[in-house]
Amino acid sequence: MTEPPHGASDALGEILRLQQDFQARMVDETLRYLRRVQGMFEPHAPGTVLRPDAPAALAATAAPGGRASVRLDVENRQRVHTVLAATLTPLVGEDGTTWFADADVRPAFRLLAPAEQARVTLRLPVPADVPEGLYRGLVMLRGLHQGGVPLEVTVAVAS
Amino acid sequence: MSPGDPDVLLVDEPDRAGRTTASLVASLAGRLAVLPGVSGADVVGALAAGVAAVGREAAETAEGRRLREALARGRPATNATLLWQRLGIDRWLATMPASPVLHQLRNDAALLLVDDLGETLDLPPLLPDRTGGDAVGPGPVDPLDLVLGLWALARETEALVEALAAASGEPAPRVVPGAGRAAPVDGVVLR
Repeated sequence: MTEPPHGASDALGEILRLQQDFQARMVDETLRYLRRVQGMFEPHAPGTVLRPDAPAALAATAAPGGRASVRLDVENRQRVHTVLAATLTPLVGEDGTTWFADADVRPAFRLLAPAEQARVTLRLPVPADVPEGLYRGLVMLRGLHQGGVPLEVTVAVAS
Repeated sequence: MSPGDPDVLLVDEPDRAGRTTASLVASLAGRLAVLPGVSGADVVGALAAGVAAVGREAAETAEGRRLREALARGRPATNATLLWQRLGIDRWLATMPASPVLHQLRNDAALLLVDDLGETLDLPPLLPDRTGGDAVGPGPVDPLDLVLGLWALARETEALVEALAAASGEPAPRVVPGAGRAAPVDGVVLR
């Protein structure tokens, strides 16, 4: 095995490498800055905000191996059609168990006209191996990432 | 369903121009107006970063998370990371602001259903609202977020087109009667 070389030429090589690295980073940062400024002047895409109108979280109870079901009534208060596409986040139990529910959402997708209301039904098959307890998650509307509607599912063996 | 008390209202963003025909036309016209001033690479980069942002949001859902974790376990993740690093895609996309592709798609689709488009286009054009401080700055783009974003955007596009067709009335019939068999022509020349 040979010793690593030492000397002025190696120091020069290292300085050159550092300089190239510095310049590459400077170019990246400059581009990032310029594009960020450019992005600020781009036309805004008017969006939609989800505003919960009911104070309580959606709640359901089911036994392991059973099925939980919740309903969500949504109204479009915008002046043009908007998309309604409900999805569910993973549900997390109090003991840290994470349940990736295979929810059946109906309708999965809907175009809502101005002032139109729609009811979304979420059916969650509860796997038999889910530990009993309270699971919390969110019903989200796709594309509206400013939050969702809290959902609480209690898994308990029927007495 | 019968009108009742909704659990959730879908409203305009606060302190912003609401979603109206005029503001949606202005947003679309504004996008078209800036196109000649930007390079193709910038457009592709901003769209790719925007699709990845859709993928990041999709990964927050149970379905998206399962899909992403399945992708992350296999060869797609390894190969995508290799391509990202060796071809410099990571450095390139990290400098790109994310284009709000989902909102743009939805807004453009909503324009196809408004009933005052003609009148709005006859009016003097409205200057589009600028993104300003809401701009999503450039940041690292994970290749799996881009893959997941393509999935989410494809589903959205398919559902949106079907919903637009459904909003236009009854679907076309599966069987359309023909005009009837042509009457036989008797003649030696035409035989």
